Amino acid sequence: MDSILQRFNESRSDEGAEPILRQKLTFDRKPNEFALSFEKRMYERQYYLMYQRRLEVLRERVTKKCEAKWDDGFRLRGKLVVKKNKVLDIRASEPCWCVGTIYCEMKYKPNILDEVVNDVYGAPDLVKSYTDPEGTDEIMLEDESGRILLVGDLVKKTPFVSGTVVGILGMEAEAGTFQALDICYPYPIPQAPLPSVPTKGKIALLSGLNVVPNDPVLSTKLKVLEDYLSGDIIDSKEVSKIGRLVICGNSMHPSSSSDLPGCLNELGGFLVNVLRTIPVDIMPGENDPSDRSLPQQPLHKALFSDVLSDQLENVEESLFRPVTNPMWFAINGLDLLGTSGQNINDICKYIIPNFNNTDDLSVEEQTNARFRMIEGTLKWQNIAPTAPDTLWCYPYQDNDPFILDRWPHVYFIGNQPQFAARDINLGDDLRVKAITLPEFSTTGQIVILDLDTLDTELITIRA
Amino acid sequence: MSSESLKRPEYEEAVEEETMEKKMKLQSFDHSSLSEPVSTIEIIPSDKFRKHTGQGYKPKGNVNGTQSVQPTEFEQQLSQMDHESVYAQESEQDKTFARAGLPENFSPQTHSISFQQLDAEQSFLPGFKDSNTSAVVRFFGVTDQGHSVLCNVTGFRHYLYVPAPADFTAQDIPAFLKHLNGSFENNVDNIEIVDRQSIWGYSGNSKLPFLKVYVINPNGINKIRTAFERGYINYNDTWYSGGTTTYDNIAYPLRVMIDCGIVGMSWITLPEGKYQMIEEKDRVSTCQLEVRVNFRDLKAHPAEGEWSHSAPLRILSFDIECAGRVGVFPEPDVDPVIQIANVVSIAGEPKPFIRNVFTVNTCSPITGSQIYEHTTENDMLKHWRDFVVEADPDVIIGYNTSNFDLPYLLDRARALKIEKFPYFGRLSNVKQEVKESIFSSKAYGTRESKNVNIDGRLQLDLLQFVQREYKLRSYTLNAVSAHFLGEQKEDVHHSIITSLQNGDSETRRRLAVYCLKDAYLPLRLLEKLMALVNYTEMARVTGVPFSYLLARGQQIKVVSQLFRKCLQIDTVIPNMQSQGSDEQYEGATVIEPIRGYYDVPIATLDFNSLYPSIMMAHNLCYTTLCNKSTADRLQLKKDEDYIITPNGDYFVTSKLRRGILPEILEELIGARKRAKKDLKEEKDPFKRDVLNGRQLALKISANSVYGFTGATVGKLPCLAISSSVTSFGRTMIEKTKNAVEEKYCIKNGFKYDAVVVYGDTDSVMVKFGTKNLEETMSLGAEAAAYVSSLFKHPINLEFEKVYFPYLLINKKRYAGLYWTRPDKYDKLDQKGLASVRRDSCPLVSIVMNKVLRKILIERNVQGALEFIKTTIDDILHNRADISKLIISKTLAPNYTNPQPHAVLAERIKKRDGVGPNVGDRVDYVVIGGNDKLYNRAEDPLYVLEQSIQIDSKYYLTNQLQNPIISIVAPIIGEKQANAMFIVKSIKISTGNAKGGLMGFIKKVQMCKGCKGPLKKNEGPLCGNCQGRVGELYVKTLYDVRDLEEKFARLWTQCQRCSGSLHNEVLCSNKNCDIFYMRVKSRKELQEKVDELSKW
Amino acid sequence: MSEDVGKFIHERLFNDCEVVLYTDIMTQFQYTNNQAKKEMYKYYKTTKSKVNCVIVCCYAGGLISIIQDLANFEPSDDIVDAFIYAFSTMEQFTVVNKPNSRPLAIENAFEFVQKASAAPVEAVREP
Repeated sequence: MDSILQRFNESRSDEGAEPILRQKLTFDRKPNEFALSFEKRMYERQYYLMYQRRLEVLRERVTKKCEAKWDDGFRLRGKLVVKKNKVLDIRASEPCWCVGTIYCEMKYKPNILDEVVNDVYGAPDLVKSYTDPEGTDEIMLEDESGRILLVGDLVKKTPFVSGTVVGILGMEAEAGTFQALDICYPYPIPQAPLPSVPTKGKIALLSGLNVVPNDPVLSTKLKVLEDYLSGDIIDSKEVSKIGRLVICGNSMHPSSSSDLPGCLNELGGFLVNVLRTIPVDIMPGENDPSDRSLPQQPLHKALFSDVLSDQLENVEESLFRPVTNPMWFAINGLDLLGTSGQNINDICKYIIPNFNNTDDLSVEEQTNARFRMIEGTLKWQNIAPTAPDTLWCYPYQDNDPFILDRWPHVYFIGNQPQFAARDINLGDDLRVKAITLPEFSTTGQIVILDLDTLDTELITIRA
Repeated sequence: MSSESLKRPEYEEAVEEETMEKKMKLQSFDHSSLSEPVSTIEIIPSDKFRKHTGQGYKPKGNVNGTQSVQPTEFEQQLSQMDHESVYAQESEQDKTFARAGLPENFSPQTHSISFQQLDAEQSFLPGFKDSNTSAVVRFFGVTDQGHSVLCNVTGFRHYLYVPAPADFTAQDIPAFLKHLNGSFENNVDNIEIVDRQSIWGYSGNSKLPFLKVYVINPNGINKIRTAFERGYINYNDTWYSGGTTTYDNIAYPLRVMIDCGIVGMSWITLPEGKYQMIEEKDRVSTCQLEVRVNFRDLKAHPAEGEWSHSAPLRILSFDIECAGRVGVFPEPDVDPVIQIANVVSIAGEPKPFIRNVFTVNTCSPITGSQIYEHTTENDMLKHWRDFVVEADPDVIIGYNTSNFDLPYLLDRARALKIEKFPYFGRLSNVKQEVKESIFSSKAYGTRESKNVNIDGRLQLDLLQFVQREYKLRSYTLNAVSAHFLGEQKEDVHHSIITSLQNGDSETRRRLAVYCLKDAYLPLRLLEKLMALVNYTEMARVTGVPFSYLLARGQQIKVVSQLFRKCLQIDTVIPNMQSQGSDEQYEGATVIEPIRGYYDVPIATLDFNSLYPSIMMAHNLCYTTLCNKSTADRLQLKKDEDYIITPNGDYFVTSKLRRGILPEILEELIGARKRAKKDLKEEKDPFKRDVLNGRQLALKISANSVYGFTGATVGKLPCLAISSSVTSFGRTMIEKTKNAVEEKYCIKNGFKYDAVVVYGDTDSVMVKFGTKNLEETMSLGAEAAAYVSSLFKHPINLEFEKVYFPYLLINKKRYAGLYWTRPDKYDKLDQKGLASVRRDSCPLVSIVMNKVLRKILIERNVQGALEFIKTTIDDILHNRADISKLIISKTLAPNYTNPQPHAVLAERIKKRDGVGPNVGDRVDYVVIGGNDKLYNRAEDPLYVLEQSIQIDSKYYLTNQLQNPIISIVAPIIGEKQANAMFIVKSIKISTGNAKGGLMGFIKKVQMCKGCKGPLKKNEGPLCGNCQGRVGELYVKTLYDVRDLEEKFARLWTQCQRCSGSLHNEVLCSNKNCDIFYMRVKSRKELQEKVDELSKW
Repeated sequence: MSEDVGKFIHERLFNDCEVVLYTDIMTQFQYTNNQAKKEMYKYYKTTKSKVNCVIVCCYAGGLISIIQDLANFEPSDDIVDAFIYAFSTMEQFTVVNKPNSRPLAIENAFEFVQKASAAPVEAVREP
């Protein structure tokens, strides 16, 4: 150890270096469809309006794709395939296709009625997965007219989650059931063209700080992270290219509201130093003091006033910006879409069973499954299809902000089990860079995204 | 010609190429994993990860493979489909619902007919005589092949018995016969002198001569009977001049069944060559087979072995929807029937084979069901009537169809003047009519109901069945479905139905789906509750037709069994005059309870079938009833030839005569043992159902024999029997108590003195003293065997269970942890506590069950007391969930005194314009104020929306206090138990007074922090609280978080329950546990969010 | 200047019983990060007192390792930098994140105004 320390010490520059200016990124201000002020909220409505709106918007796109794929004389077994406008119009003997919303009836879905009846309401939620490995799950296609049970091999092979709008080709099997033979997703949506001239800059993506008071190891890792972002650990020239830090949820982990001041103090201490050198966007996560329902509204600055206001005379919005979850970012001409992870975590409960022995499913396999779900949200064109069925959300009346109107260039999801970055190919040279961000508190990892090449770099702080 | 044939293969080939090309193009369009397999999926090694493994996925690179393999698999899938059968089924539904036709070569000379008979009724065959009578009994039935049968049983002459005069001889018959026929329109066919004995009383074993009077027309037999009984027969001055008792008064159809050995729902075989087809011109029914057979030629099968199965009975379940007016329950003169949903199933098959909805106006199709659209209601009703005739159901079921759906349809058809509508029984020309009746029974209480005659079709209203067999808080289809099927059902108020009907084909489809569900649920209940199976077995065991089981009381079942037994031993039954005697007799013994909380095991010893056992052991019967003078005259020996019961009645022993009632009981109990043994060995689920139904029927029948003798308004009351039974019971309980306490005592070497702490009718509860559960069970079994040896066979005392701990509150009121095995308790058992009372709010049973659970299961008395305190505190602070405080009552037409729910119903009508109608259940909570109680009932939703204060004192004092004190007082003492409530009452009064003052204070904005009043223009916080802005914001935010989750979970659950994501939840099912929670969570969430918005 | 740094470290460690980070030296003496790292090494080489070192090792590929157990440290060829991060007199190394005003290696692109009263710079004690 002495020799190593000596070697690097001798090669260290003696002179006092001039500060390097942080790379400045271009931010476009766009209306945030996830903004939801308290003043305008109305709870005198039900969730069916949201489903109706979702079906209305996506049905048009799915139908367009279905017609391209299955119309125009397409035949099955010598019979002409016809379009059915409503699910309950499906009849026997006619191969047909129909567009509807998927509904999954699964054994382990949360059921507040059962909890109330059995007097266990309020007990901790121990459910890791909704799907029943024994195979009792039921997948149904539904629209305003009713619902029909989907059967067949395709149903077993294809991942289905509640709330997605798809087209299904098949025939009626037993009364009230529909044998699915093929599936169709919404017609492609546009993606903004990539910037024609190279743009310089990087962003740092961080999630799952899970700050709690009195955790020495976590405090140390946070301190080192802060020093790294300040350029004081290594290679400050490279670090200066990082123009912004985006914290993607679960910054705190209070076990109850009485823990919150301690968490805020700890997090505030981190932020006040980091903000001296890099601007920060912070998203709320599942455990953060924000809404429980999606979309989560930005963390209120009053929460940080105790720690920040003493130090900062003026905190510009561009310097420190609490944002919603999910959130669209427009940086250097790129569209980036980020979530704190609740949407993907909930979808995975539909797909990945809860085996008693978790060794049966390797980490790699789990990551592959998660990327298929991430890809699914892009193809379904809905980043939170399981809201409101199992993912709690605000009862929108005439819109569904989770529906995608454009595909992002980059799609990052926080609080995932493992880091991974993959190109998702959506056909016709449309691709989305998808990044899963691990929890810093358990992995010590932060992801650096190059906004020019969309390459990612992983920094791991290990204590 | 040759060139034409060459073209076809080319054409086919071209089509195939086009398809292939299309597929190839499609295959290459979309490369993502959700539409096309990718390599990573295939190489997942774990089999358990089934979502993404499986056939059909090919590597992307193998283009040739894709081209050749994918279509093949596609075709394979197609070939596996059973679409043709579904298509055929749906097509067949369009064509016909009718039963399968008879074999082509069917002939009475070559084919026998075996059918399960369902119903019997009396009738005539015009123009036909057999044994001088045209009277027949019609049996409706179904064969194993599913053919419907109407069988006329001919040649049976109804008869009655009268004692023969002392000097009557065979030579007197012609003259007497002529005289009778002169008075009774030649209705007497013949008279025979036969030797019989009366069932009533023992007079030695000799038989006496009786005249058996045969009549030609059964309808005239009562006139003849009355004449004999009143002394109107004046053939000469000595015979019957003073009147005489007649014997064997029973209805003609039952008489035929008894004499032929036919029991209800049993199989009958008509041997080939022994029956004749009814000619077409004489047919009266829509049955496929209409035949006649002489009663001697038919073969009746006992319902055993191969004849225990059921025919493929068709069961129709239906539901109607009526378009009501706002605020008015539908009336048939005005409000149309707009939909009728029908589900037809074959008994024993898992799925219905007919599912359809008849609608007025257009309706979008429903997958798996048929929609029959009609322009007018008249068309629909006619079509439905034709459908019923064609589908030809054997059983018609529904929910409240007896009182609503069927009468409504008939009344509506009459209002619309549809002449042919009310002819949907199996008799083509018999009109269906509604009759009102009042059914009264000691066992079942009094109910007004309507009956519709549908000849040949059994009716089973599931509402009536559930009301008769189960005791529930609510009998709505929602509550019953929740209770037995574990399903909440969306409930649509009848006022919404009209707007759905007046929408479009989509909204009418929604209504149709709902209507279809209501038609399907009774079928599910029928299967779940085994109603058809149980009633079939009851009909078989007791011998009565199925239709008697719902329409008649218990007595007819015992009558049927008595007549069958008497027929075998040449015994006749007198026609007693039913006098409403006021004579009473002493009932069962209740050993005075030693009240308290027992933390030691209490053994329960029970007599098996006590009253039947007593009747068998001591030979108590009509035929063995004796008296002192007869015993003296015949020089009978006491305790050898006869006994004297504890209440002083004389009965001869079985040495002289075996009683009929003991024989019936012996057979019933023996049959039940066999059925239970068979049940244990049977594997087939359906047969297990039948056997279980049978053993239950046998148990009920055995227990009803005693009740039959004690019924003073009855067919054959005999208080000597019933009072003797109870007197034996009392004696036996006392003897058991003394025997146990005398044997199990310290002076006999036991560690403790046994104490009988309680006894009731047929059981005693014994504290042996030991704390050891296993030892207690051993002692209990030993004591039971010992006591059994003191009594006569087949009286048997059995150790059944141990209560440990045991809370003995009073007579017929106790609770305990129920153990039958030492390792684990079976359940928490309770009797007579308020938790089952219908007029208390759910909170009472919830709290009582929780307190009992804490005391008896957790052994945590202190925890129970804490829970009671917390509950009281929650009520005082308005924290109890309002759904737990609701009291529910049915609105009756008239009330002598003002009733809370009736006053509320009027108030709702004034306030909302519409309100509950007579027959609806009215839910209310009691709110605060100084008004009379009946004016302080309020609708729970209104209370929630207006944030009205609940009357805490009412719920504490009138609902909760007595039940809780009854549980707790035996443990901590009466004084201390009452103290828990007294202190709170004082506080309540103070609170109420303050509340009155608060009504006059002007509302001011409050500081979110300290709740002090805010000055004008101040923000959410007052000056003092500004420094706590972060802290207070966080608290409100966390409230919002919790409420957001609750709101979302409640409303998504309701959306799931409604069975549709895309339609509004219309549910108004107040029985559901989360109905009020969802309203409250919405209101609270809105309030908190508004509060947050002020920051 | 080096004597002042050593004195500062020594007093902080043994009189105040506090952890000393290299960033504390940056704050106290307005040194750059490289200068502060050199001073930490110098103190490490010259002090006679027993102190526990916390080393930060930077590896190729983005791994930054915080090493407290020097006895079990395994040198490897992919280490690209290493320096003494902190001194502590206690076995358990605990860092408290305090606002600091050390010189910036990378300056924020946005305007940043700090309250004058915040974290006042402690006067350097003259020898």
